[in-house]
Amino acid sequence: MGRASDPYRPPALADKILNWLCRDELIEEIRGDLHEFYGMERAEKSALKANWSYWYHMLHFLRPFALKKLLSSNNHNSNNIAMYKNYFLIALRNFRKDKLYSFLNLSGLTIGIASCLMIFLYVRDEYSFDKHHEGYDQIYRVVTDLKLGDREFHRPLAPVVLAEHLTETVPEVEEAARIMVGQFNSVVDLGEKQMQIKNATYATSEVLSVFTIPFIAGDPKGALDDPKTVVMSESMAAHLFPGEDALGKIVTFNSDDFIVKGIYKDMVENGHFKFDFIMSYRYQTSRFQMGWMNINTYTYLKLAKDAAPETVEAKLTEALKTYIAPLTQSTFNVPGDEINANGNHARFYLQALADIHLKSNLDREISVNGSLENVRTISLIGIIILFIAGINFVNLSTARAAIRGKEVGVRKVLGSKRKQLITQFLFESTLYSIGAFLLAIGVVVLMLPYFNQIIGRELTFSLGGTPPLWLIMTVSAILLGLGAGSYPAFVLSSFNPGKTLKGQTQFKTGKSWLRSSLVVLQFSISTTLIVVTLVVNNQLSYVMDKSLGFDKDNLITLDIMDLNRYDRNEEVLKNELESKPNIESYSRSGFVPVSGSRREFFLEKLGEGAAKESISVQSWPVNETYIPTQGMTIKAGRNFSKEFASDTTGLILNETAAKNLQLADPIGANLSLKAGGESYAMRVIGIVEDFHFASMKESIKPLIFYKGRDPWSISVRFSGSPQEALSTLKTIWENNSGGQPFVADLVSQQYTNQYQKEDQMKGLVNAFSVLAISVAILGLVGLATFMTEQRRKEMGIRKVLGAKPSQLFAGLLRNFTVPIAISCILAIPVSYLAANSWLSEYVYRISLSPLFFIGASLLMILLAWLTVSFQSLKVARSNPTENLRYE
Amino acid sequence: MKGTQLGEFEELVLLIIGVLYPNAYGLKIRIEIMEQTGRKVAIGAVHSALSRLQDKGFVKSQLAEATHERGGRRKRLFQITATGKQAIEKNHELRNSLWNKIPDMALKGLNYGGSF
Repeated sequence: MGRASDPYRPPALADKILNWLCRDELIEEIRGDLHEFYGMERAEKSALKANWSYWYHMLHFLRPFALKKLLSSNNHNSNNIAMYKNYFLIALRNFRKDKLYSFLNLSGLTIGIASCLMIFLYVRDEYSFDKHHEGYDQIYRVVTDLKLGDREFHRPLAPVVLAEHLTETVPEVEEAARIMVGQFNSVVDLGEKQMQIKNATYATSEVLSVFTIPFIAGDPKGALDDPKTVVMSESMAAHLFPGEDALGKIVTFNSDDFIVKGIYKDMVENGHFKFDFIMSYRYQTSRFQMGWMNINTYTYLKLAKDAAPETVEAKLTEALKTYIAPLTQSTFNVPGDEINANGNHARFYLQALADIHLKSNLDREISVNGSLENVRTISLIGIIILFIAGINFVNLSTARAAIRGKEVGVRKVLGSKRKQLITQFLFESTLYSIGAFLLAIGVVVLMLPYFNQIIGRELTFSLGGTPPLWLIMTVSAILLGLGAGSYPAFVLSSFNPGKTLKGQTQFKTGKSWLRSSLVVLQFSISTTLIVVTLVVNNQLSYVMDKSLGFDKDNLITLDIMDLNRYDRNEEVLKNELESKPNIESYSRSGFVPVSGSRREFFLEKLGEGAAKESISVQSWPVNETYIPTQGMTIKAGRNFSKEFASDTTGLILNETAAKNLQLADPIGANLSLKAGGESYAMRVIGIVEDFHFASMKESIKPLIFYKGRDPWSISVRFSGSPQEALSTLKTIWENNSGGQPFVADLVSQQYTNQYQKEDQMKGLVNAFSVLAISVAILGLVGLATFMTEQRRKEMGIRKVLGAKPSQLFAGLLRNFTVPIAISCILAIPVSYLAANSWLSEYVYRISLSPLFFIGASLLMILLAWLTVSFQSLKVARSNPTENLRYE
Repeated sequence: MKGTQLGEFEELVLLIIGVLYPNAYGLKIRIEIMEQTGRKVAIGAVHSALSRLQDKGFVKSQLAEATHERGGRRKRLFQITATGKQAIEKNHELRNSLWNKIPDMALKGLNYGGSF
């Protein structure tokens, strides 16, 4: 470039880029101007500055007028379309010619894409939660996080009065909506009739404006301002007032008359709450004293458009100091200036509305939220399946290289450039991928109901959405086609026509290290998936079958909605129940070990000397029938009994509580129970065997029983079939409960529900592991067919020379066993880490025995053998004359 | 006709070509623009405008003889065509006639930011 007369040399790379991109006819004058300019710059400035400025101006030439026309620059004819037609035709012919190969390739891709599509729908749905609310990105929920003394409180709840305080003092808060008591089921009276209501709550009118809740009757503005008002969903209105206009009607709840002020469209499924019956928040606040220490309100803030949540959080911290700190001494026994010292902490923080479903998993969520971990795992599996399908495509395409070699040779002889051949093969693979996408749509439409069953959702397939699915699919179809097709395209187009046309294969089909390593990779992934699937299934059945310390089977709980009506008839009902042969025992207590009822008190060992042990314990009020009805075991001492009047001060400890208190001789020990600011002197009368009352992810915590009443539900132990017991109960209930609805639950069912997320995960992992493995097997079928086909002649010669079919068969099998065995070995560490990290969440877990790995490996090898042996057997047994004849 | 409109920058380039006659070429035009108006312009922008002007038929160009400057690369010299001349004249007249139509009242008191 540099001519003798150039005094300075501009950056060579910039020049090269310019040469490469600029039109040939303009390059001379442009370069001339740029160089002249560079010379002037260099005369005045430093080389560095001049270079910068050269680059700057060079880049400014990359405008449409100066750029090469990309499509027409190399071949100035309009032959392109015709060539693409030809590519299309050839692709179609090849597709028809080898049906097995085409089928394997296409079905693998289709399964992969269909899985990804379904997973995509699921993931998109998970991320869509609460985004239908207008301005959802301005809405935040207040969370209170306290650890004061022994008390921990981390819930999505805020003090009752916080909302008012914030709207009055913080300008960034436009509106504050309040909800109390989450989502509950209850009953209402309509005249004489008692009806069940579901998903009820208490809320302020602001809830109707902060959230997008379209009304179909009534005015949302101020609808819930009066204490005895209610708004309900369309379907609840239809349930309570079938065929009538519900607006303005009266509903009696808790002996109070509520007026129906509005009907709204049923709330969507993908929100973190779905209320059907919203009563006024004031109904609660008008009845009880509510202050800064009543932390019981879901508080949602709608912030001004560009307000930063951090500023509001700072204001929250101020409020905490001003209003909460003075109260901590009396409530928590922690001085106000120590709330963030000595291991204590106290804070409010904000959660973005859109984050609640996937990221918030606190105590007292309004409904069970999603799990980011599940979403991530399943996305990963989706990508893995597609990857395995992609590997199939690469392997099968390169394996068939020898056949396509002749075509490539002819094309090259006739003047095809390598670039054109690459285009052809990429075009072909893109066709495949587009075809697979179209088929996958059909598969998804067919399979979606089953998928919905696993995930417990109602997903529907539509090509719309933001961004639209059709666009995503088109782009991914092309990307997948180009991605999976690029390696085969480069390999196939590299053939030397002289050799391929003479019949020599350049691409040694038997010795491709790349193909073997891809197979190894595929099968390592598959083996890992099998191990993980086995471990997940085993752990969950371990959780389901583990002895819990109480008998969750044959146990029914019944909710009492109306205490007055129930108490009037309790004796009759109880007697009738106990007279039935399939009812074994009856106990009135709501503390079912699985339902998550929690009541925390403090227990103190009464001081012998200075060593005072104090622990926080779960404290459940029960009666003397509770322990036998739940099927728990008394380890030492005795159960509560009617014969001992002193049992009102008696305690039964679980083993953990006894151990944590370090009681040398627990029975008869004197303890002090602290609850609600009072202390009670208690005596231990018995020890109950530890039983699980929380998830297996937590260790068993200390717990005590004291004699008391929790009137809101009953437990019944039955024998025989659950259906029979339920129908017995139902008859008795309907005759004696004073018209209350029958809300019964099998405890075993409740227990299973605790593991809903895990169960969903299990379903997903099982289904998609099977899919992933089948895609890998499809690939193996293709490879096996092809490679045994290649060795037909060799087999014929071996046979002629005296080899037995069994020897041939063993030889062929060995060929495939080696890579599979390698992949099994490679899979061990990966699957160990994956399974172990999943298991580490559980306190009570299975151990990772080598059997998992051995089992998975054996399964994999067996599957591979089955796949391969069909083809190998065919070749090994065939008549050598047939194999040798074809030349 | 959209294709024959004269843009503001294009007009400037066209005028400068006239000013520099007969030695108007890309880099020189840029330098002149920067000196006359104080605007910072990329060389590419000037070339782009020149190419548009040529497409519209307002300028014609030819490659000059190679000299020893700029590594022996030839310059492309630009000249205004008859249509180009018409276009500037039309713009010039339009401006003048509009300027004359502005009533004095509208400009009164607007003496460069001064107020009463």
